[in-house]
Amino acid sequence: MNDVIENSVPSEKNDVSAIENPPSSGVKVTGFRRFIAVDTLILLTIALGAGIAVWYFKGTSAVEESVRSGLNLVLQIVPMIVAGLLLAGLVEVLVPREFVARWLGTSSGIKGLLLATVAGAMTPGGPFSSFPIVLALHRAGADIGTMVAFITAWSVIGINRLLVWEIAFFDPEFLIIRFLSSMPLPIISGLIARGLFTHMWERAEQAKN
Amino acid sequence: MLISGIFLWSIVIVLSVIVLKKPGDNYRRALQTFFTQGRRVAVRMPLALLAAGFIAVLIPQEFIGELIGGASGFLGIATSSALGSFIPGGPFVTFPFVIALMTYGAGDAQMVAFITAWSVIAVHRAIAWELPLMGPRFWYIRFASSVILPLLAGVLATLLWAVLGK
Repeated sequence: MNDVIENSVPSEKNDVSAIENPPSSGVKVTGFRRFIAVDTLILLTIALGAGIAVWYFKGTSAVEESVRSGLNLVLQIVPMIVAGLLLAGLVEVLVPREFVARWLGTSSGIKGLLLATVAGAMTPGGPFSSFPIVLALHRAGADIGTMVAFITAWSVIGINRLLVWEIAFFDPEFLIIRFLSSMPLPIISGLIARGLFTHMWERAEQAKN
Repeated sequence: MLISGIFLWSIVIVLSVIVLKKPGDNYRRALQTFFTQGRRVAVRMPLALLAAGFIAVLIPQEFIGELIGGASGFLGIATSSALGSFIPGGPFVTFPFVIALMTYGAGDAQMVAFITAWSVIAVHRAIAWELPLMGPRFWYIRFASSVILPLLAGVLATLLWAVLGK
């Protein structure tokens, strides 16, 4: 167990580069490491600033109550988050991303959009895993509608985010309604992209070659 | 909460057995993902929950209700969509804010629009990932094809809740 911890996160640098450049993506994203470190600092500043403002305007007891209810929520959701993150790791190992790209690149029509929706919804991880897949889809010959539907599905009906985060935070009714309201969105955006922008996209691609 | 937890942990156990039965160092790789992501979250999520709680106390409740409350209708859905587009960070930062807003009077359908805009428009993600990786033309086409989606989701959610009698 210790061995795994030490090898996986030996230093801050490797930790972040593992997120930036998953070995199979082959994509470099410079400057994101700074972004990651900065966002914690920004959060800390906001929390401190807002905390001081609450103390100034509403008094010590309001600060205590906020902190207590925040900690309560953390304790409630930690077991779910741990399970969710474990799940994310397991799914990533079970479904290799090259497989997805090859499978999707050659499908077209409404079937292509449906497949892109299913694949997008099942793609775990943040933008560091989804955008490399879109690039791979592009190389495998997918049209603009398929790529857009994939990103929409990954972002609005991602099963991974649902299991890792939404179950932990929201009650089942809200979760189900949100999911149902979002289900048609990938197809709609795919159709819009395909209907209105295919010409623009292909012309630009030809100009590149 | 308890049932959701049991559900999640059951899937984890089943998938763990499957991965452990496969040859190779798959489980190790799964744990690596777990630790790298877990480290990102461990500090940020408690901070976000704390910040969201404080901010919710500071914003007057009537203001939230008027702007994006359940009775704010389509205008509230549009406002939530605009706000959601600019919320940076992962779900561990955004969901605490949504919870805080809901506690202080934000409407359910409005929050569906908010979450949709945060996921699909995601200005911060466009700047950090999409523009450098995919280029401006791809971003422009995707944005133009997706800009109505948060409104659509908000309206659909309103209709679904109406059907449920809420």
